[in-house]
Amino acid sequence: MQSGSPPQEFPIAEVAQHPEAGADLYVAIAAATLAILVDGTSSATITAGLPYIAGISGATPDEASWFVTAFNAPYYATILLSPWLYARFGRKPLIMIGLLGYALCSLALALSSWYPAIVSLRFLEGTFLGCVFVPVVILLFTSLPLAAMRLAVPAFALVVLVAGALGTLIGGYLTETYGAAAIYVPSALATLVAAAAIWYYAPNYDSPQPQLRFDVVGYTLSLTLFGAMQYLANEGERRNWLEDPNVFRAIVVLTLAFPAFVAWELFYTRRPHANFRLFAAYRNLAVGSGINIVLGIVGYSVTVFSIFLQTVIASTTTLAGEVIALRTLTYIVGVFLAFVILSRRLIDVRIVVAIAAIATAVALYGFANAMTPTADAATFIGVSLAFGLVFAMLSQPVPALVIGALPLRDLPAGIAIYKLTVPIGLMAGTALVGTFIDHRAAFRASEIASAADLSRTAVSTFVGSGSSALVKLSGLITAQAQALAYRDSMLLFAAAVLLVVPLVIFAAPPAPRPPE
Amino acid sequence: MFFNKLLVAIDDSVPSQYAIDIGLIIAKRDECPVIFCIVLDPALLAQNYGLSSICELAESFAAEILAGALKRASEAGVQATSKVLFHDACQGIIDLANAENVGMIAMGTHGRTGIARALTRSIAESVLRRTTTPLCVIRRPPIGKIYGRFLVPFVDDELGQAAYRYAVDLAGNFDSTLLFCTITDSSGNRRAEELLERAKRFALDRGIKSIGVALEGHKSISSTILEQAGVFECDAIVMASHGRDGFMRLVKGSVTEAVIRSSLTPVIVIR
Repeated sequence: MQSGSPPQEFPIAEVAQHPEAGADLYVAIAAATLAILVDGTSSATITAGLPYIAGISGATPDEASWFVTAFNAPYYATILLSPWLYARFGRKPLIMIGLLGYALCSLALALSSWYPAIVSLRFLEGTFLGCVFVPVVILLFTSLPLAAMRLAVPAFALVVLVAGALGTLIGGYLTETYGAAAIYVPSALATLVAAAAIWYYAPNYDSPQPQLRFDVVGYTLSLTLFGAMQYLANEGERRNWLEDPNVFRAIVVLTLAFPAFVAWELFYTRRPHANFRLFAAYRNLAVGSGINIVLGIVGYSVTVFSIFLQTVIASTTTLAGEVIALRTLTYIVGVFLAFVILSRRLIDVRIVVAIAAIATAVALYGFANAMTPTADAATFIGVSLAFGLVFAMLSQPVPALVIGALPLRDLPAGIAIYKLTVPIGLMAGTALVGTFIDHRAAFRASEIASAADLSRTAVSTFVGSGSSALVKLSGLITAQAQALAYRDSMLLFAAAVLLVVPLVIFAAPPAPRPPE
Repeated sequence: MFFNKLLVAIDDSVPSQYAIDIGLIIAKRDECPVIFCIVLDPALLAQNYGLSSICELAESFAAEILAGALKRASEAGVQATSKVLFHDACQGIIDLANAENVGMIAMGTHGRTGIARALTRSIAESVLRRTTTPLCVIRRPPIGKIYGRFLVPFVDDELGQAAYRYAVDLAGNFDSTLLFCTITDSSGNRRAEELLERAKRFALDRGIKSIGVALEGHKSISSTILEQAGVFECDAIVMASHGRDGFMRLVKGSVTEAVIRSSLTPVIVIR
């Protein structure tokens, strides 16, 4: 805030415990969980089905990438805006607008094959879905009776984790079984069910604040910023970075929009919608957000693994999704273990996070070693289950770190920041690791090809075995180079997750044990 | 004033509202003050790793529940105070009861059975096993004035005697009538009749009207007791408990806990 200027006014939404009882409680919780699942799977589902969607609309690869960017940019910008929307319109109205808007856009998308209509609808779909996460998580937290409040964070962590692992399976299965148009239908139906349940069963304790004014400049800057980030994540490596003028323009836009947005929200508006001052006030919010960004980068390993399964060992998208979904079996064990350890205070939360990060790095190393051209889906069963266990133990305490330090008045803003840090990491992971894989594949191909000269008996025998031997050899070299590049990327993820260890050292110690 | 003070331990459950009802009915009749308390378990709220928002939500919600209870006490003309404690729920209630020297703890219970009971801990049953303060547990709305007629099941041991003596004192204070009952065993009715006679004489000596019933133990003891409470339209059951815990409870079970889980009337337990 500039000296002498009036203080900033942050929107403060009402957050109070209004637990339900009996069937109402279970329905409200199930509806909130369903909405979080839709929110968590929507992006990965569409990514898995992208080639099929591009097929029905006749979009080129350049155009198809806008299906993702047009959704994600408003989705992320609206998540950051949603605490303001919550305060302005109230919790239940915002959930209803978000869910119904998303459902209608999804149903319209299922009927659309005209490219401009699809991009426009995807934009609206992202905007509506961005409204949902924060109020639905608050609904989940505040609907629980006192005795069950202990389950709020582990349940939340589990749902978010499971959602992240199911997107590829859902997207792959739907497009491969029913066609591209079907990809939108289940999430539309699920949101309609969730909306109906919340409409009838969720308590309505809303106090909208119509006097709140919309931060138009801030939202536009945020939309531009996330649009540029997503565009670079999708297109940067594909267009060979600075060799493409559009990528260059996106980098310029990102470079300008990011400081402009932060400066606008911090200093130049009296009514900001993003409260960046929370990072300075709460050390654990900053540390937890840093960890979440690292987890977002590591989250891109799901996409890399899925591509590996589909390209190197020629699995279907559905089978790749099933292998990825395997980890959900041990997520529940990992979340429960972390919860017991932390709630009973057996080990300091920082040590739990550090140990789980090291164990996750070891699991990713295991993935890397299993990634060979001769591997099949069964090769990854053990390592997937082990990864699920340790990654869940790493992820479970993070919401507590990010939002745990915040007082109630800042809870919506904290949840929005928590939600947003993962995709920021994911976008960074997409851009960095995508580039890394391409470069490593080229390097590995060159390395293997240079070693495959005719002075080696095995090579000369193979080449002399028939007229198509050179083609076969080239194919083998490419497959091996790709497998090695994916293996290298998993090692990179393993190194990246170790960044959590120095980060968590900066976390504030747990609150002192209350007197007994 | 028989109880000195009443401690009503509550949460946001429906049976807790019944505990408030019964606490206020008894306190009004006994003219004793009531302490409403909510114990929030810091471990269960994950306060240990700094989830302050959830704790804040729980604390403000607890204050809201207590404000509702205090309002009801004020409307009923009962003097009441309230406390929010961060402690293990069971130990917090017991410690507060001891510190405040209360005459009875009143609590609601869900009376869960089967799998639900195996999965969830019953705070009321935990308190019952560990406290020496009389405990009144309720799982259904109180009907009438709850102290009109007490059913007093007992057996021939020290605890049984303590139960009927306590019931007689209680009846003396609340102008109640008593229905003593005991279970006949293989030695026949004679022994049971002797026991009942002794209890009735004890009550009569203190000017309390009572009747005695010897029950045949064909069915489970707890369901026989509950059946009698219904047949004789008793307002509450007063009984003693060994408060067995751990392995002994697993082997021998607890009639009192079985009664609490199924009773339609309040159950006052002494140890």
